[in-house]
This record gives sequence, C-alpha cells and structure tokens, in this order.
Amino acid sequence: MKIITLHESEETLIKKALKRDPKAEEKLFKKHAPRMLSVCRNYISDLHYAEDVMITGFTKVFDNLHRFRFEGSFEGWIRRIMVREAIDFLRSRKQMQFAEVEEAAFVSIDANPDDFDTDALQLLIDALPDGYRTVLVMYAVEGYSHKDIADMLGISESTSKSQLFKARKVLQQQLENQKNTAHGKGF
Amino acid sequence: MEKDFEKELSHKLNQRTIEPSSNAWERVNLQRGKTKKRPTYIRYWIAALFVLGLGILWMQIGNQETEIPTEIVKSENNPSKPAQTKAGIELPEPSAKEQIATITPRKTEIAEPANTQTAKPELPKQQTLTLASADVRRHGIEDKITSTVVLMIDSGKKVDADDVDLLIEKARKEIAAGNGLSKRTDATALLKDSESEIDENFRTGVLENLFKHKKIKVALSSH
Repeated sequence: MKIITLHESEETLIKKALKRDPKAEEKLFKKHAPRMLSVCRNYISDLHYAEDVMITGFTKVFDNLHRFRFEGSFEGWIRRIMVREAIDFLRSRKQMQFAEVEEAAFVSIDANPDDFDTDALQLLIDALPDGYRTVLVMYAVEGYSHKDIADMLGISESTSKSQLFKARKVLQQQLENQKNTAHGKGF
Repeated sequence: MEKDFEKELSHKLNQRTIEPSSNAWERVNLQRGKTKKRPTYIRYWIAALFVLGLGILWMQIGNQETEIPTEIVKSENNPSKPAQTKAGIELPEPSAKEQIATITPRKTEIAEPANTQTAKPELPKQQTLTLASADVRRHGIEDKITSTVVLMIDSGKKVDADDVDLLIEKARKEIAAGNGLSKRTDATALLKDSESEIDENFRTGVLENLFKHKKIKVALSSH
C-alpha cells in the first residue's frame, strides 16, 4: 500500500522557505498568521494596526529565517518576534508610559474568567493604559519574567512589578463594575 | 484566585485566533519586495556602470589603435646617445639644440626666428626627434609659445637658446599638469614633418659645406 504524504511537516516547510520557496512561505504564513494576529491584538487595541504589525513581523520572520536554529518551537520564535514588533510599535507611537507606583502590594482579582467571553476579556484589557496592558500581557499571557520584561521594555524590574500591580488593580475594579452591572440587570 | 484568573486569561487569549484580512499575504510579499528591491537597484546600477566602463575602455582601445606607436628618429651622428621616449607621457630632457629642433617644425612663426638664430650647420647634429617631444605641438601651448616668440621678435630681442629652453620648460609643465592634451596628435603627419625638416636641414648643410669647400666642388664638377 502506497502512502501519500498530504501534510508536510513544519520543518520541511521551513527548510523549503529557507530556499525561498514561495509556496512553503505562504503555507507557514497561513498556518501561524491567525494566532500571531491575536498576539499582536493583545498589545494593540486597534485591529488594523495589529495586522500591520503582524505583517511587518512576518516580513522579519522570513528575512531572518536563517537565524532559526530548529532548537525551540517555530511558533515560539515567531511569537517573540511579534511581541518585540508590537512593543516597538507602541514605543514609536509613544503610547507606552510607565508611571511608578509607590506600593506594589498583592491584589487579588475575585472573578472567574469563565464568566466572560474572550472578546469581553480583551475589551477589559484594552481599557488598561498601554504600560499596564503591556506588562500584564507579557507577564500573564506570554509568561515572561519581570527580569525579561524589564530588559525588553528598558525599565527596572520594580517598575515592571508596579505596572503589573496597577494593571491588576484596575482590572479588578473593572470586573467588579461589570459584575455589579450584570447583577443590577438580573434584578 | 488571582493566579487562576491570570491562568485562565492566558489560556483564553492564547487559544484565540484572529483571521487576518484576505490580502495579508500579498502585503507581506509587497513589504518584502520593498526591502528586496534596493539590492536589485544596486545590481542594476553596478551593471550599468560596468557597461559604461566597458564602453570607455573600448573607446580608449579604439583611440590607441589609431595612434602610431612610439618611434624614434635617430640621426647617425651620435648613435651612442639613447633616444627612447614614451609617446605623449614624458618629455625627454633634451639639450638646447634638441629643444630648438623640436620646436622648429611647428609653424613658420616659430621656425623662422629659431632657424635664424640657431639653425646653422650644427643643426643636423640634432640627436632625436620623438613623438613625445612633438607633443609640445598641442594647441594651447603652441599658441602661447607663438605669441611669446612674436612678442620677442617685435620687441627686437634676439631669441637665444635659453629663451627657447624656458618656453619649452613652461610648456612641459603645462602638459604635465594635464593642460592642452585634449587635442589628438596626427603622429604620421608629425613624423613626416620631422623627417622632411631633417632632410631639408641636412640638404642645406650639405650644400653649404659644398659651397664652402671648393675642392669638393671642383671634385664634383670634374667628376
């Protein structure tokens, strides 16, 4: 029985893309673009700008494909490029400001994310100031440490912590407001 | 609870996908094309410059083919003196007599006073006439020398070897500085001029000697 391979492995596609195979490049793009647009959207509230950033990011991905060493996951590698591109975009628009917070105490968010759909959560995050949102997404969604965040954003670790504290506080406030509104509507 | 919230938040956002617009891939290609076009333009420029360089080289080779290679006109009087020169590059350091001889073929305005002053029976002793020395005939320099000589004649001053030396040295410096080299030299005509000049001078010298020495004259007549 002859087995026909219908699905090319990612490694094969990357190797073809390294040889400037346009079909392989397009396949890689189509495979990763939806998730990468979501990554960019986490940082940039305007979807059109987020797509611009994603396109620039993919341009860099393909131009620097030879630097990918096949050591980690390809998606992770692209993701890091996208995050950096999004940060550069926010910096270029001077949207990111990091206000120091005197006290970075523990803030608990008494809410269940299952109560909100993804779009609603995204809207809550969008409502945060850029500095808060960036640190929150980098820490909570991407899993960067405060040291990594400090390095990437050019801030101190304590600033990163304080930004996260503030972000949580504002987010908690918003969630409570939403809850109260929902309860009010229920009665 | 807070950790759970962030964990769930992370999970929900990481699972989310947003479909990009239909022309997103074309835009990526377009953006990549912009960055690639620059080297393409550079390649075109390099190719254009290369073609231009080849054209210039070809023209120069064509010019060289029309030029007569360096030739040496030697008189038999002094075969020991080396007479090698490079055509059009460097002028030799000729003696005063040689310098006079190199100028005399130019124009009558120059040749006449030069001959009156220096073209005596010693003149056939001139050692070399080279294309390099003939290059002094370049247009601009020639005019300058001519006008200077005419001025000197008009002022009644006699042109001696030092004056001619001075003029030639001046011309040589101008040629070395790159002035007056735009006009091409007809080397064949120049050579013919030089040869006829030598023949004429030689003939004149022989006849003068013949008239001076009656014995030879007699011998010739008796023969």
